Amino acid sequence: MEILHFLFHIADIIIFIFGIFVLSTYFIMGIFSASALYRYIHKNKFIDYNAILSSDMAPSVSILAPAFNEAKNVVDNVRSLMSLNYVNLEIIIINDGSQDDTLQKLIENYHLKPVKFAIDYKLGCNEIRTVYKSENKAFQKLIVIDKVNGGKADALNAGINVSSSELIISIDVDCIIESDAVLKMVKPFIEQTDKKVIASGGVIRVANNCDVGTGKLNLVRFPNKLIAGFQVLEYSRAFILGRMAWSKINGLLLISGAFGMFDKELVIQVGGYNPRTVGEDMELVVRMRRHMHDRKLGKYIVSFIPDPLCWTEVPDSMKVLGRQRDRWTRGTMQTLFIHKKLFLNPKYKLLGLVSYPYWFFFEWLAPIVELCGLIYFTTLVVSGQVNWTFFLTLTAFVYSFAFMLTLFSILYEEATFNAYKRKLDILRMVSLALIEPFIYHPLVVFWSIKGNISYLRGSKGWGKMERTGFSTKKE
Amino acid sequence: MPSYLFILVILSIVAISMQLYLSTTLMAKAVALFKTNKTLRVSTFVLLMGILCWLLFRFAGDRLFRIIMLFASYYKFLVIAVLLVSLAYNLYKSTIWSTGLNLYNKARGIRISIWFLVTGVLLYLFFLLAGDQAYSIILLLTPEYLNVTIASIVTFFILSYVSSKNKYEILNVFGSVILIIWISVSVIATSVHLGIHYHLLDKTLYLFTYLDNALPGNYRILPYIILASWIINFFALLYVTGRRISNILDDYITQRFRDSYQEKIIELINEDVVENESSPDEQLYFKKVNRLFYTRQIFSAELLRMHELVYGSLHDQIHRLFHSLSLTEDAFNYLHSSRWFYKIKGLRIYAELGDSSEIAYIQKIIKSKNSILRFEAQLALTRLSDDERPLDYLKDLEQSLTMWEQLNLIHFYTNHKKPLGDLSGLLESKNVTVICFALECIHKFNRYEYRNQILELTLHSDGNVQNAAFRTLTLFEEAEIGSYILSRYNQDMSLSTRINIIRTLGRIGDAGTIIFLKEQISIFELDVICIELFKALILIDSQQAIDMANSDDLRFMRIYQHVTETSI
Repeated sequence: MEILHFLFHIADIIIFIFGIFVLSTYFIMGIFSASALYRYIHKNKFIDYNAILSSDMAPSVSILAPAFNEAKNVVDNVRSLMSLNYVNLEIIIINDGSQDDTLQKLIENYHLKPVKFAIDYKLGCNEIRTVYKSENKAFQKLIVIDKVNGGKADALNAGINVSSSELIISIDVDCIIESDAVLKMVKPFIEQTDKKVIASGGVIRVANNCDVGTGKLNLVRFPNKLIAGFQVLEYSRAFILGRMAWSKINGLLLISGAFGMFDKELVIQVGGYNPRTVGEDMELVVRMRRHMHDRKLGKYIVSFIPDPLCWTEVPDSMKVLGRQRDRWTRGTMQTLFIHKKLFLNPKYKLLGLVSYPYWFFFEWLAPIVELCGLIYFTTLVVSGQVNWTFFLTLTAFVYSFAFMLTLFSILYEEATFNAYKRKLDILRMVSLALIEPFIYHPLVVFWSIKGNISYLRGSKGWGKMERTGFSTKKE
Repeated sequence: MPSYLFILVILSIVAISMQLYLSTTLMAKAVALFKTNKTLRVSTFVLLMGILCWLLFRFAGDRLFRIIMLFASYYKFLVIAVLLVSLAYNLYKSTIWSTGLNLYNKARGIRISIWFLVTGVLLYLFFLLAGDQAYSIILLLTPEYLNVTIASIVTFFILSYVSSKNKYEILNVFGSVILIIWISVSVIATSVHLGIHYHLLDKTLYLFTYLDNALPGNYRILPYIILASWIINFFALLYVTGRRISNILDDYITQRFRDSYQEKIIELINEDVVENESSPDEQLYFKKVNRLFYTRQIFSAELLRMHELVYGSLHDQIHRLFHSLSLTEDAFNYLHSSRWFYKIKGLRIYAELGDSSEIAYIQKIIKSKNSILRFEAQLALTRLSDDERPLDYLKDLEQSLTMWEQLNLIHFYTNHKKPLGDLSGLLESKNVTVICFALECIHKFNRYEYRNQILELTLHSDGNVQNAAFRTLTLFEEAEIGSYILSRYNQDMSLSTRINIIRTLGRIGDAGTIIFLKEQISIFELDVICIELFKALILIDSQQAIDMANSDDLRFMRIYQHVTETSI
């Protein structure tokens, strides 16, 4: 019995220390994020992007969009990409062995014709069958690659092999990109001084229920489905609070695969995307950062743009969302294990001492700690040793903190970009924030645990993502 | 309370009078408005429901509560009956038999029934558990505060009605503000009232004392953190709401001022003015504008916008207005402010007006550690410098001149007819980014006079400078330069420099170059180099490129096809 008491005491201490760490980390992140946003917003007031638009000095950019069975939206999405404002742009759509008529639709709508393309296979990828270009001058920027299926990372590597630009942007073809997104993403690269900008990430926003027509976002609406609404809060917390804070201290480890810009030369140097992971976006950023340290290539930056530049359709069914979160967890684990050498390694400075441990403890381990907490609590209940006052106070504390965190991300959103302008949207967001810890959070923890189990069982698949397509109804 | 109601009545009378004044077909418009305006319909519904509830509780009293309790006892049976009937009906009407979930998703009746059931059960439980207390809470709320809420909704309703035309949008905002304030007042007043009635303060203190004793040592702080977090949350929510309202207000008011100032400025700059003297009317107007910093800011911004759009004597008129309003003082204060974004405002005003009185101070800002400020100072100096070397301030720049700064400066010179001046100083700078910028300017604006200096810079120790120098040599289509570049190609060069050399040769090459390119293609080092060599060869003599492609080596054909076909 004494041993049991001792173990409970130890568990208490661990939970307390973990709690203090989580609390202080999020608190610091909130401050950093506020400071970074404040500076960005003020700075952006004075910027005129016309200079980049009209300059032949602007670096060339290739947009790489892998497409697998995207026949439903691909024509509209490519149209959206074609309307992006940038002077020196190349759009590369990689048909990754689609089984539907994705390629056929592209050929018909964009008057594509096969060209003899001398591909320099700098990065390994599955066979590229044909490269297409349009006969129509209006679509001169467009290149379509037809290749044997090999997954997203493989498709992106194929795109890099064909790209002729200095910078690459990887996007999900189903995303809606704001027309000035490339201009804003390029800016950190052309602003670099003694620190090399190796990558730049943008905020991903939820496009469910928004009015999208001819590949453009016409009207922003808050999602009408609960599950998508929760994800708005989650994305807002992750991007506006989390990544903005990490970019402030140059500690970003993840640039979303849905929208990120990279220095192509460096990507090639590190060997491109890793097709053996399902979290290829994070893995690439970590590898690039590690490469900069290992080769002593000098100071570098991974920048982040808080403007809402990219809108995506998030899963609105539990099944699909579960698969997505399972994959994200596996991706995180794969990256963390591949780069385990970084863990608390002073050689990698901030990367090894702060960023990596944060991901290890708070992104990967946190759901496991939560599960352990639940098991611990159940044990206490079964053994009749639960202190209900303590339990209820702790629950109230966690709930209050979780709500406060979400409320602050809503506040930052309101004070900066204010994407959801309708009167009731704020009320909806606050209401969802109040119930999120009870409804959505347990699900996320469950899927994370499931992802851990899938990883241990050696699951490598992506899981099927069903899309409903964007809404085109008017307000 | 009476004073609130009095203000309300006055406001309502004013609002309705305004509407009566503006419209003669009030009733017809009101009906049309009711049909089209959702807010109005909802407001009316809420108002009617509020009045109904109030009347019920006011006059029915105990009886109503007994009815509710009676209803609550039988409610579950009623709901179950509705559910069963609805279920049977839906099953009868529908062919969806597969799963209950499918049915729930597809049949609205089932969904409504389930929600009825859930709400009913919750209400039933509430009344069962709360009993008399629930009733007393309702009674507590009704007499004192319901009228306040109803009154605020009435105000909102009236103001929404009056503001239904866009030009009275501001009244809608005022209506919302009043509604929010009054609802907050009623919520706070009710809370205080309930708090006193139920001794909530004592109970809270007791709870804290209890928790202090019951919690383990380390965790005693938790209740205080929870309390603090909810206080913070409350203020955060207030901020979010306040910000939204203030944004709408600010947009509206600013736009109104801007419209009015634009008209006035056009009128003022087109007037005939004698000896820079303002008329008494003007002075009166200026006094009005000057009264508030806010209005002065808008006026100043509009003047600057106008300054960008007009030319000639109108410029002088704008300068006169600027001085008459003492806006130059604002510009000076901005420039000397400790906050960087105000400094930028000041810099922009001085640059736009071409006022070089603060040029010495601006030159100091060039050395600022703040990159945005430094950049704005560069642009301002570029605009203000009148001498033969307007860009010479860059010569001693300690920080890198970023690509962003470079292309903005070039953008400025491309769009303004201002002479670039002598660049030789920049070519001798110790800052390689400044040299690269100077080379880019030479290339862009065809400054042939720097030929020898560019040739020297091809030997510079920095690779970027070498690249820029080779790129700039495309300006000179001379055999001598061609041979010089050829001689440099095989020296220890980086890949990017070699590519630049090949590109330059493609532009200025001659017969000698063709031989050289063909030799290099035969070596076939890297695809990327070979592609560039073919491109250069095609530019000089496409037939030679075709001949190379048709040779035995299939790799040449592959590269040739790549070069020609990818540029469809």
